[in-house]
Amino acid sequence: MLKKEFRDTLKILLECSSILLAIPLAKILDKLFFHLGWSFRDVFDITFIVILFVFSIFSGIYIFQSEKKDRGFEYLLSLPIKRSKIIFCKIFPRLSILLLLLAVTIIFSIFDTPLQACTTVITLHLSAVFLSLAVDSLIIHFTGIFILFTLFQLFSNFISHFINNLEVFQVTSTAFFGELLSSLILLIPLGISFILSFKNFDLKPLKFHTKPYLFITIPAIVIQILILVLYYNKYI
Amino acid sequence: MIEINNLSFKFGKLRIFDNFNLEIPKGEVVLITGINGVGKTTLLRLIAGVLKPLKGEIKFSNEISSDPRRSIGFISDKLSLYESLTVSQAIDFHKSIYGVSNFDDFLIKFTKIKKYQKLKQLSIGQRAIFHLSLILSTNPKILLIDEIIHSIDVYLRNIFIKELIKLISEKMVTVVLVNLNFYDIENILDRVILLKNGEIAVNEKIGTLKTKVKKIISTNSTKSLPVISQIDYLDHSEYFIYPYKENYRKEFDGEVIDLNLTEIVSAFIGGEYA
Repeated sequence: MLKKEFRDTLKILLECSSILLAIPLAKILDKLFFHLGWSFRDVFDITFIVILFVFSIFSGIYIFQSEKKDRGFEYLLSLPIKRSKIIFCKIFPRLSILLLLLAVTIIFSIFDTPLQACTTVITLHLSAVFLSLAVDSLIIHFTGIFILFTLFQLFSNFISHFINNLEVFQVTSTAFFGELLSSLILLIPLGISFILSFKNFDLKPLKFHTKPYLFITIPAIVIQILILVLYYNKYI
Repeated sequence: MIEINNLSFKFGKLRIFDNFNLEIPKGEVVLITGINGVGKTTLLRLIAGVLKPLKGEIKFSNEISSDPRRSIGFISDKLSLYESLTVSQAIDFHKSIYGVSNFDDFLIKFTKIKKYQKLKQLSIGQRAIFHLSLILSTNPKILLIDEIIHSIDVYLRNIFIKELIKLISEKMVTVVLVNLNFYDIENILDRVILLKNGEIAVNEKIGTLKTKVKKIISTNSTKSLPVISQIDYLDHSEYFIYPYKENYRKEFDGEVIDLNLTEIVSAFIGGEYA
Protein backbone atom coordinates (compact mmCIF):
# COMPACT_ATOMS: atom_id res chain seq x y z
CA MET A 1 0.00 0.00 0.00
CA LEU A 2 2.91 2.31 0.75
CA LYS A 3 4.10 1.93 -2.83
CA LYS A 4 0.73 3.02 -4.17
CA GLU A 5 0.57 5.97 -1.80
CA PHE A 6 4.07 7.09 -2.77
CA ARG A 7 2.98 6.88 -6.41
CA ASP A 8 -0.15 8.95 -5.68
CA THR A 9 1.89 11.52 -3.73
CA LEU A 10 4.44 11.84 -6.51
CA LYS A 11 1.57 12.37 -8.94
CA ILE A 12 0.34 15.29 -6.80
CA LEU A 13 3.89 16.64 -6.61
CA LEU A 14 4.16 16.42 -10.39
CA GLU A 15 0.89 18.32 -10.79
CA CYS A 16 2.07 20.97 -8.34
CA SER A 17 5.41 21.18 -10.11
CA SER A 18 3.65 22.51 -13.17
CA ILE A 19 3.88 25.83 -11.29
CA LEU A 20 7.60 25.76 -12.23
CA LEU A 21 6.48 26.82 -15.68
CA ALA A 22 5.92 30.20 -14.10
CA ILE A 23 9.70 30.72 -13.92
CA PRO A 24 10.40 31.25 -17.64
CA LEU A 25 7.06 33.02 -17.95
CA ALA A 26 7.94 35.47 -15.18
CA LYS A 27 11.36 36.09 -16.72
CA ILE A 28 9.83 36.81 -20.12
CA LEU A 29 7.14 39.07 -18.64
CA ASP A 30 9.78 40.94 -16.65
CA LYS A 31 11.95 41.45 -19.72
CA LEU A 32 9.03 42.58 -21.89
CA PHE A 33 6.81 44.59 -19.52
CA PHE A 34 7.83 44.96 -15.88
CA HIS A 35 11.58 45.65 -16.17
CA LEU A 36 12.11 44.92 -12.46
CA GLY A 37 15.30 42.99 -13.08
CA TRP A 38 14.15 39.78 -11.48
CA SER A 39 16.95 37.27 -11.25
CA PHE A 40 16.39 33.59 -11.89
CA ARG A 41 16.96 32.96 -8.18
CA ASP A 42 14.29 35.50 -7.14
CA VAL A 43 11.68 33.90 -9.34
CA PHE A 44 12.71 30.38 -8.40
CA ASP A 45 12.48 31.12 -4.67
CA ILE A 46 8.96 32.52 -4.93
CA THR A 47 7.84 29.70 -7.24
CA PHE A 48 9.29 27.07 -4.92
CA ILE A 49 7.54 28.58 -1.92
CA VAL A 50 4.26 28.54 -3.84
CA ILE A 51 4.84 24.88 -4.82
CA LEU A 52 5.64 24.02 -1.23
CA PHE A 53 2.44 25.58 0.11
CA VAL A 54 0.22 24.27 -2.69
CA PHE A 55 1.67 20.76 -2.31
CA SER A 56 1.27 20.79 1.47
CA ILE A 57 -2.42 21.71 1.16
CA PHE A 58 -3.26 19.55 -1.86
CA SER A 59 -1.50 16.42 -0.65
CA GLY A 60 -3.29 16.83 2.69
CA ILE A 61 -6.78 17.56 1.47
CA TYR A 62 -6.63 14.90 -1.22
CA ILE A 63 -5.38 12.19 1.10
CA PHE A 64 -8.38 10.06 0.08
CA GLN A 65 -8.43 11.37 -3.46
CA SER A 66 -7.73 8.03 -5.12
CA GLU A 67 -10.52 6.39 -3.13
CA LYS A 68 -12.99 9.12 -4.11
CA LYS A 69 -11.91 9.48 -7.72
CA ASP A 70 -11.37 5.77 -8.35
CA ARG A 71 -14.47 4.67 -6.43
CA GLY A 72 -12.11 2.58 -4.33
CA PHE A 73 -13.44 3.28 -0.81
CA GLU A 74 -15.55 0.12 -0.73
CA TYR A 75 -12.58 -1.94 -1.90
CA LEU A 76 -10.19 -0.34 0.60
CA LEU A 77 -12.55 -0.92 3.52
CA SER A 78 -13.11 -4.54 2.51
CA LEU A 79 -9.37 -5.25 2.66
CA PRO A 80 -7.83 -6.66 5.86
CA ILE A 81 -5.94 -3.49 6.75
CA LYS A 82 -6.15 -1.85 10.16
CA ARG A 83 -7.32 1.75 10.21
CA SER A 84 -4.10 2.83 11.92
CA LYS A 85 -2.09 1.27 9.09
CA ILE A 86 -4.21 3.05 6.50
CA ILE A 87 -3.55 6.39 8.22
CA PHE A 88 0.18 5.64 8.45
CA CYS A 89 0.38 4.57 4.79
CA LYS A 90 -1.45 7.72 3.77
CA ILE A 91 0.48 10.23 5.88
CA PHE A 92 4.02 8.79 5.72
CA PRO A 93 4.69 9.26 1.98
CA ARG A 94 3.13 12.73 1.94
CA LEU A 95 5.07 13.90 4.95
CA SER A 96 8.31 12.36 3.64
CA ILE A 97 8.09 14.22 0.36
CA LEU A 98 7.09 17.41 2.15
CA LEU A 99 10.13 17.11 4.42
CA LEU A 100 12.28 16.54 1.34
CA LEU A 101 10.94 19.76 -0.15
CA LEU A 102 11.58 21.54 3.13
CA ALA A 103 15.14 20.22 3.10
CA VAL A 104 15.57 21.79 -0.33
CA THR A 105 14.40 25.14 1.04
CA ILE A 106 16.95 24.88 3.85
CA ILE A 107 19.77 23.89 1.48
CA PHE A 108 19.00 26.81 -0.85
CA SER A 109 18.29 29.16 2.08
CA ILE A 110 14.93 30.09 0.59
CA PHE A 111 13.44 31.09 3.92
CA ASP A 112 15.04 33.55 6.34
CA THR A 113 13.73 31.58 9.28
CA PRO A 114 13.64 27.98 8.08
CA LEU A 115 12.43 26.46 11.36
CA GLN A 116 9.41 28.73 11.49
CA ALA A 117 8.68 28.09 7.84
CA CYS A 118 8.87 24.33 8.42
CA THR A 119 6.46 24.58 11.33
CA THR A 120 4.02 26.62 9.25
CA VAL A 121 4.14 24.28 6.26
CA ILE A 122 3.82 21.11 8.32
CA THR A 123 0.96 22.63 10.34
CA LEU A 124 -0.75 23.57 7.11
CA HIS A 125 -0.25 20.07 5.72
CA LEU A 126 -1.46 18.27 8.83
CA SER A 127 -4.46 20.62 9.12
CA ALA A 128 -5.35 19.73 5.55
CA VAL A 129 -4.97 16.00 6.30
CA PHE A 130 -7.09 16.28 9.43
CA LEU A 131 -9.72 18.26 7.58
CA SER A 132 -9.87 15.77 4.73
CA LEU A 133 -12.72 13.81 6.31
CA ALA A 134 -14.72 16.83 7.40
CA VAL A 135 -14.74 18.62 4.11
CA ASP A 136 -17.49 18.15 1.56
CA SER A 137 -20.01 17.74 4.33
CA LEU A 138 -19.03 20.43 6.82
CA ILE A 139 -16.87 23.00 5.15
CA ILE A 140 -15.41 23.79 1.77
CA HIS A 141 -11.77 22.72 1.51
CA PHE A 142 -10.06 26.00 0.97
CA THR A 143 -12.28 28.03 3.26
CA GLY A 144 -11.35 25.64 6.06
CA ILE A 145 -7.64 25.82 5.28
CA PHE A 146 -7.77 29.61 4.96
CA ILE A 147 -9.55 30.02 8.32
CA LEU A 148 -7.12 27.67 10.04
CA PHE A 149 -4.08 29.33 8.49
CA THR A 150 -5.24 32.79 9.55
CA LEU A 151 -6.07 31.52 13.01
CA PHE A 152 -2.68 29.83 13.25
CA GLN A 153 -0.84 33.02 12.29
CA LEU A 154 -2.86 35.15 14.70
CA PHE A 155 -2.42 32.67 17.51
CA SER A 156 1.27 32.35 16.83
CA ASN A 157 1.62 36.13 16.96
CA PHE A 158 -0.45 36.26 20.13
CA ILE A 159 1.45 33.49 21.91
CA SER A 160 4.83 34.98 21.00
CA HIS A 161 3.84 38.31 22.52
CA PHE A 162 2.25 36.61 25.46
CA ILE A 163 5.50 34.77 26.18
CA ASN A 164 7.47 37.99 25.86
CA ASN A 165 5.12 39.73 28.28
CA LEU A 166 5.43 36.95 30.82
CA GLU A 167 9.18 37.49 31.01
CA VAL A 168 9.49 34.17 32.74
CA PHE A 169 11.01 32.13 29.93
CA GLN A 170 14.31 33.13 28.51
CA VAL A 171 13.45 31.81 25.09
CA THR A 172 15.74 33.12 22.43
CA SER A 173 13.24 32.58 19.63
CA THR A 174 9.83 33.38 21.06
CA ALA A 175 8.36 33.66 17.57
CA PHE A 176 9.29 30.07 16.78
CA PHE A 177 8.16 28.88 20.17
CA GLY A 178 4.86 30.70 19.58
CA GLU A 179 4.40 28.97 16.24
CA LEU A 180 5.16 25.60 17.70
CA LEU A 181 2.69 26.09 20.51
CA SER A 182 -0.05 27.44 18.27
CA SER A 183 0.51 24.48 15.90
CA LEU A 184 -0.14 22.11 18.77
CA ILE A 185 -3.17 24.03 20.01
CA LEU A 186 -4.63 23.91 16.52
CA LEU A 187 -3.61 20.40 15.53
CA ILE A 188 -4.58 18.56 18.70
CA PRO A 189 -8.39 19.03 18.41
CA LEU A 190 -8.19 18.56 14.64
CA GLY A 191 -6.10 15.40 15.00
CA ILE A 192 -8.38 13.93 17.67
CA SER A 193 -11.42 14.61 15.48
CA PHE A 194 -9.72 13.02 12.48
CA ILE A 195 -8.67 9.90 14.38
CA LEU A 196 -12.08 9.46 16.01
CA SER A 197 -13.84 9.94 12.68
CA PHE A 198 -11.57 7.54 10.86
CA LYS A 199 -11.70 4.96 13.62
CA ASN A 200 -15.43 4.56 13.05
CA PHE A 201 -15.25 5.27 9.38
CA ASP A 202 -17.27 3.10 7.01
CA LEU A 203 -19.06 3.42 3.72
CA LYS A 204 -21.80 5.66 5.05
CA PRO A 205 -21.80 9.15 3.51
CA LEU A 206 -19.15 11.43 5.04
CA LYS A 207 -21.71 13.60 6.82
CA PHE A 208 -22.39 10.68 9.19
CA HIS A 209 -18.75 10.68 10.32
CA THR A 210 -18.26 14.30 11.19
CA LYS A 211 -19.62 14.35 14.74
CA PRO A 212 -16.14 14.60 16.33
CA TYR A 213 -15.48 17.69 14.22
CA LEU A 214 -18.76 19.21 15.35
CA PHE A 215 -18.19 18.44 19.00
CA ILE A 216 -14.42 18.84 19.31
CA THR A 217 -12.88 20.90 16.52
CA ILE A 218 -15.51 23.59 16.12
CA PRO A 219 -15.85 24.34 19.89
CA ALA A 220 -12.03 24.32 20.24
CA ILE A 221 -11.65 26.76 17.37
CA VAL A 222 -14.45 28.97 18.67
CA ILE A 223 -12.69 29.13 22.07
CA GLN A 224 -9.41 30.03 20.34
CA ILE A 225 -11.11 32.81 18.40
CA LEU A 226 -12.73 34.09 21.59
CA ILE A 227 -9.36 34.17 23.36
CA LEU A 228 -7.88 36.07 20.46
CA VAL A 229 -10.74 38.55 20.36
CA LEU A 230 -10.65 39.16 24.12
CA TYR A 231 -6.90 39.27 24.76
CA TYR A 232 -5.22 40.14 21.45
CA ASN A 233 -5.04 43.86 22.16
CA LYS A 234 -3.91 43.33 25.71
CA TYR A 235 -0.71 41.52 24.74
CA ILE A 236 0.01 42.97 21.32
CA MET B 1 -20.69 -20.11 9.23
CA ILE B 2 -21.95 -16.55 9.52
CA GLU B 3 -23.99 -15.68 12.59
CA ILE B 4 -25.67 -12.31 12.85
CA ASN B 5 -27.00 -11.46 16.31
CA ASN B 6 -29.26 -8.53 17.23
CA LEU B 7 -27.87 -6.40 14.47
CA SER B 8 -29.09 -2.81 14.26
CA PHE B 9 -28.10 -0.37 11.60
CA LYS B 10 -29.32 2.98 10.35
CA PHE B 11 -28.40 5.71 7.92
CA GLY B 12 -29.00 8.87 9.93
CA LYS B 13 -32.62 8.58 11.01
CA LEU B 14 -33.47 5.89 8.49
CA ARG B 15 -33.44 2.57 10.32
CA ILE B 16 -32.55 -0.35 8.08
CA PHE B 17 -32.19 -3.19 10.61
CA ASP B 18 -33.37 -3.46 14.18
CA ASN B 19 -32.36 -6.53 16.18
CA PHE B 20 -31.83 -8.51 13.01
CA ASN B 21 -30.76 -12.15 13.36
CA LEU B 22 -29.55 -14.57 10.72
CA GLU B 23 -27.48 -17.73 10.45
CA ILE B 24 -25.84 -18.86 7.26
CA PRO B 25 -24.38 -22.38 7.49
CA LYS B 26 -20.92 -23.12 6.14
CA GLY B 27 -20.76 -24.11 2.49
CA GLU B 28 -24.25 -22.91 1.61
CA VAL B 29 -25.04 -20.77 -1.39
CA VAL B 30 -27.55 -18.21 -0.23
CA LEU B 31 -29.55 -15.73 -2.21
CA ILE B 32 -30.66 -12.56 -0.45
CA THR B 33 -33.47 -10.81 -2.21
CA GLY B 34 -36.27 -8.33 -1.66
CA ILE B 35 -37.57 -5.07 -3.02
CA ASN B 36 -35.27 -2.16 -3.77
CA GLY B 37 -34.12 -0.32 -0.66
CA VAL B 38 -34.93 -3.15 1.75
CA GLY B 39 -31.30 -3.47 2.86
CA LYS B 40 -29.85 -6.32 0.78
CA THR B 41 -26.70 -4.46 -0.20
CA THR B 42 -26.41 -2.97 3.29
CA LEU B 43 -26.53 -6.46 4.80
CA LEU B 44 -23.81 -7.66 2.46
CA ARG B 45 -21.67 -4.61 3.25
CA LEU B 46 -22.14 -5.22 6.98
CA ILE B 47 -20.97 -8.82 6.57
CA ALA B 48 -18.03 -7.62 4.43
CA GLY B 49 -17.03 -5.15 7.12
CA VAL B 50 -17.30 -2.06 4.95
CA LEU B 51 -20.21 -0.85 7.07
CA LYS B 52 -20.14 -0.97 10.85
CA PRO B 53 -23.24 -2.04 12.78
CA LEU B 54 -24.81 0.34 15.24
CA LYS B 55 -25.50 -2.56 17.60
CA GLY B 56 -25.14 -6.30 17.58
CA GLU B 57 -22.45 -8.53 16.16
CA ILE B 58 -21.53 -10.58 13.17
CA LYS B 59 -19.67 -13.74 14.11
CA PHE B 60 -17.80 -16.09 11.86
CA SER B 61 -16.72 -19.69 12.40
CA ASN B 62 -13.48 -20.37 14.26
CA GLU B 63 -11.49 -21.25 11.14
CA ILE B 64 -11.77 -17.62 10.10
CA SER B 65 -8.91 -15.44 11.35
CA SER B 66 -9.20 -12.57 13.80
CA ASP B 67 -9.74 -10.12 10.93
CA PRO B 68 -12.60 -11.79 9.03
CA ARG B 69 -11.95 -9.60 6.01
CA ARG B 70 -8.91 -11.76 5.31
CA SER B 71 -11.25 -14.68 4.60
CA ILE B 72 -14.01 -12.74 2.86
CA GLY B 73 -14.10 -11.98 -0.84
CA PHE B 74 -16.47 -9.14 -1.61
CA ILE B 75 -17.54 -8.11 -5.08
CA SER B 76 -19.63 -4.98 -4.73
CA ASP B 77 -22.33 -3.84 -7.12
CA LYS B 78 -20.08 -0.94 -8.12
CA LEU B 79 -17.16 -3.31 -8.71
CA SER B 80 -15.11 -1.07 -6.47
CA LEU B 81 -11.38 -1.24 -7.21
CA TYR B 82 -8.77 1.44 -7.76
CA GLU B 83 -9.71 2.36 -11.30
CA SER B 84 -6.60 4.36 -12.09
CA LEU B 85 -4.33 1.37 -11.47
CA THR B 86 -3.31 -0.92 -14.28
CA VAL B 87 -4.25 -4.59 -14.11
CA SER B 88 -0.74 -5.57 -13.10
CA GLN B 89 -0.52 -2.80 -10.45
CA ALA B 90 -3.88 -3.87 -9.03
CA ILE B 91 -2.66 -7.48 -8.83
CA ASP B 92 0.52 -6.40 -7.02
CA PHE B 93 -1.46 -4.19 -4.66
CA HIS B 94 -3.93 -6.97 -3.79
CA LYS B 95 -1.13 -9.52 -3.33
CA SER B 96 0.80 -7.19 -1.05
CA ILE B 97 -2.22 -6.56 1.18
CA TYR B 98 -2.99 -10.28 1.58
CA GLY B 99 0.66 -11.30 1.60
CA VAL B 100 0.20 -13.88 -1.14
CA SER B 101 2.90 -14.61 -3.67
CA ASN B 102 0.92 -16.32 -6.41
CA PHE B 103 -1.68 -15.00 -8.74
CA ASP B 104 -3.25 -17.44 -11.16
CA ASP B 105 -4.26 -15.49 -14.24
CA PHE B 106 -6.05 -18.37 -15.96
CA LEU B 107 -9.43 -16.65 -15.57
CA ILE B 108 -8.43 -13.33 -17.01
CA LYS B 109 -7.01 -15.07 -20.07
CA PHE B 110 -10.61 -15.70 -21.13
CA THR B 111 -11.42 -12.02 -20.98
CA LYS B 112 -8.77 -10.58 -23.31
CA ILE B 113 -7.57 -8.30 -20.52
CA LYS B 114 -4.08 -6.92 -21.05
CA LYS B 115 -1.98 -6.41 -17.94
CA TYR B 116 -1.01 -2.86 -18.95
CA GLN B 117 -4.67 -1.78 -19.26
CA LYS B 118 -6.06 0.55 -16.64
CA LEU B 119 -9.00 -0.85 -14.71
CA LYS B 120 -11.23 2.00 -15.82
CA GLN B 121 -10.74 0.83 -19.41
CA LEU B 122 -12.19 -2.60 -18.68
CA SER B 123 -15.80 -3.51 -19.35
CA ILE B 124 -18.10 -4.49 -16.47
CA GLY B 125 -17.74 -8.16 -17.33
CA GLN B 126 -13.96 -7.97 -17.54
CA ARG B 127 -13.79 -6.16 -14.21
CA ALA B 128 -16.08 -8.68 -12.56
CA ILE B 129 -13.93 -11.58 -13.77
CA PHE B 130 -10.78 -9.72 -12.79
CA HIS B 131 -12.14 -8.99 -9.32
CA LEU B 132 -13.09 -12.66 -8.94
CA SER B 133 -9.53 -13.63 -9.96
CA LEU B 134 -8.10 -11.33 -7.30
CA ILE B 135 -10.38 -12.85 -4.69
CA LEU B 136 -9.58 -16.43 -5.72
CA SER B 137 -5.88 -15.73 -5.25
CA THR B 138 -6.50 -15.22 -1.53
CA ASN B 139 -8.46 -18.45 -0.94
CA PRO B 140 -11.59 -16.94 0.59
CA LYS B 141 -13.88 -18.94 2.85
CA ILE B 142 -16.80 -16.61 2.28
CA LEU B 143 -17.72 -14.99 -0.99
CA LEU B 144 -20.12 -12.05 -1.13
CA ILE B 145 -21.40 -10.98 -4.53
CA ASP B 146 -23.68 -8.01 -4.92
CA GLU B 147 -25.95 -7.75 -7.93
CA ILE B 148 -23.30 -8.02 -10.58
CA ILE B 149 -23.79 -11.35 -12.29
CA HIS B 150 -26.48 -10.18 -14.65
CA SER B 151 -24.58 -7.12 -15.76
CA ILE B 152 -22.02 -9.42 -17.35
CA ASP B 153 -22.39 -10.64 -20.92
CA VAL B 154 -23.48 -14.24 -21.49
CA TYR B 155 -20.01 -15.58 -22.29
CA LEU B 156 -18.29 -14.04 -19.28
CA ARG B 157 -21.28 -14.82 -17.05
CA ASN B 158 -20.90 -18.52 -17.86
CA ILE B 159 -17.21 -18.35 -16.96
CA PHE B 160 -18.06 -16.53 -13.75
CA ILE B 161 -20.75 -19.02 -12.73
CA LYS B 162 -18.60 -22.04 -13.67
CA GLU B 163 -15.87 -20.69 -11.44
CA LEU B 164 -18.37 -20.20 -8.63
CA ILE B 165 -19.57 -23.78 -8.95
CA LYS B 166 -15.95 -25.02 -8.83
CA LEU B 167 -15.29 -22.94 -5.76
CA ILE B 168 -18.39 -24.20 -3.98
CA SER B 169 -17.87 -27.87 -4.79
CA GLU B 170 -14.10 -28.03 -4.24
CA LYS B 171 -13.54 -25.65 -1.36
CA MET B 172 -16.87 -25.56 0.48
CA VAL B 173 -16.94 -21.80 0.24
CA THR B 174 -19.99 -20.05 1.67
CA VAL B 175 -21.48 -17.82 -1.00
CA VAL B 176 -23.94 -15.02 -0.34
CA LEU B 177 -25.48 -13.48 -3.42
CA VAL B 178 -27.69 -10.45 -3.71
CA ASN B 179 -29.64 -10.60 -6.93
CA LEU B 180 -32.92 -9.66 -8.49
CA ASN B 181 -32.50 -11.92 -11.48
CA PHE B 182 -32.25 -15.62 -10.79
CA TYR B 183 -32.39 -17.36 -14.14
CA ASP B 184 -28.74 -18.40 -14.37
CA ILE B 185 -28.03 -18.94 -10.71
CA GLU B 186 -31.11 -20.89 -9.67
CA ASN B 187 -29.32 -24.22 -9.98
CA ILE B 188 -26.46 -23.32 -7.68
CA LEU B 189 -28.56 -21.92 -4.85
CA ASP B 190 -29.20 -23.75 -1.59
CA ARG B 191 -31.27 -21.18 0.25
CA VAL B 192 -33.34 -18.08 -0.39
CA ILE B 193 -33.71 -15.28 2.11
CA LEU B 194 -36.29 -12.63 1.40
CA LEU B 195 -36.03 -9.39 3.34
CA LYS B 196 -39.05 -7.28 4.15
CA ASN B 197 -39.03 -4.10 6.25
CA GLY B 198 -35.61 -4.93 7.69
CA GLU B 199 -36.67 -8.43 8.74
CA ILE B 200 -36.54 -11.89 7.25
CA ALA B 201 -39.85 -12.65 5.56
CA VAL B 202 -38.71 -15.95 4.06
CA ASN B 203 -35.73 -18.12 4.89
CA GLU B 204 -36.10 -21.47 3.16
CA LYS B 205 -34.05 -24.11 1.44
CA ILE B 206 -34.75 -23.79 -2.24
CA GLY B 207 -36.40 -27.23 -2.54
CA THR B 208 -38.67 -26.52 0.42
CA LEU B 209 -39.56 -23.11 -0.92
CA LYS B 210 -40.64 -24.62 -4.23
CA THR B 211 -43.00 -27.00 -2.45
CA LYS B 212 -44.37 -24.25 -0.24
CA VAL B 213 -45.10 -21.59 -2.83
CA LYS B 214 -47.76 -22.41 -5.42
CA LYS B 215 -49.86 -20.56 -7.91
CA ILE B 216 -53.58 -21.23 -7.91
CA ILE B 217 -55.66 -20.30 -10.91
CA SER B 218 -59.23 -20.03 -9.77
CA THR B 219 -62.48 -18.32 -10.53
CA ASN B 220 -63.63 -18.18 -6.92
CA SER B 221 -62.08 -16.22 -4.07
CA THR B 222 -59.40 -17.85 -1.87
CA LYS B 223 -59.52 -15.34 0.96
CA SER B 224 -59.03 -17.96 3.66
CA LEU B 225 -55.68 -18.99 2.16
CA PRO B 226 -52.33 -17.28 2.87
CA VAL B 227 -52.14 -15.29 -0.36
CA ILE B 228 -48.91 -13.37 -0.82
CA SER B 229 -50.00 -11.69 -4.04
CA GLN B 230 -52.59 -12.02 -6.74
CA ILE B 231 -53.19 -11.05 -10.34
CA ASP B 232 -56.77 -10.51 -11.47
CA TYR B 233 -57.96 -11.21 -14.99
CA LEU B 234 -61.45 -10.73 -16.46
CA ASP B 235 -62.65 -14.27 -15.87
CA HIS B 236 -60.22 -15.65 -13.30
CA SER B 237 -57.50 -14.74 -10.82
CA GLU B 238 -54.03 -16.06 -10.08
CA TYR B 239 -53.24 -16.44 -6.38
CA PHE B 240 -49.75 -16.99 -5.07
CA ILE B 241 -49.92 -18.96 -1.84
CA TYR B 242 -47.27 -19.31 0.87
CA PRO B 243 -47.06 -21.60 2.73
CA TYR B 244 -49.11 -23.92 0.58
CA LYS B 245 -50.59 -27.08 2.13
CA GLU B 246 -52.20 -29.99 0.32
CA ASN B 247 -55.47 -29.72 2.29
CA TYR B 248 -56.06 -26.26 0.77
CA ARG B 249 -57.32 -28.01 -2.36
CA LYS B 250 -60.74 -28.41 -0.76
CA GLU B 251 -61.15 -24.66 -0.47
CA PHE B 252 -61.15 -23.64 -4.12
CA ASP B 253 -61.91 -24.78 -7.64
CA GLY B 254 -58.97 -24.48 -9.93
CA GLU B 255 -55.56 -25.61 -10.80
CA VAL B 256 -52.35 -25.61 -8.71
CA ILE B 257 -49.16 -24.74 -10.55
CA ASP B 258 -45.53 -25.19 -9.51
CA LEU B 259 -43.29 -22.16 -9.81
CA ASN B 260 -39.66 -21.56 -10.61
CA LEU B 261 -37.54 -19.31 -8.42
CA THR B 262 -38.00 -16.21 -10.53
CA GLU B 263 -41.78 -16.59 -10.33
CA ILE B 264 -41.66 -17.26 -6.60
CA VAL B 265 -39.61 -14.19 -5.82
CA SER B 266 -41.70 -12.09 -8.25
CA ALA B 267 -44.79 -13.20 -6.31
CA PHE B 268 -43.30 -12.12 -3.00
CA ILE B 269 -42.03 -8.83 -4.37
CA GLY B 270 -45.30 -8.20 -6.25
CA GLY B 271 -47.13 -8.72 -2.98
CA GLU B 272 -45.12 -6.00 -1.32
CA TYR B 273 -46.01 -3.47 -3.97
CA ALA B 274 -49.70 -4.43 -4.03
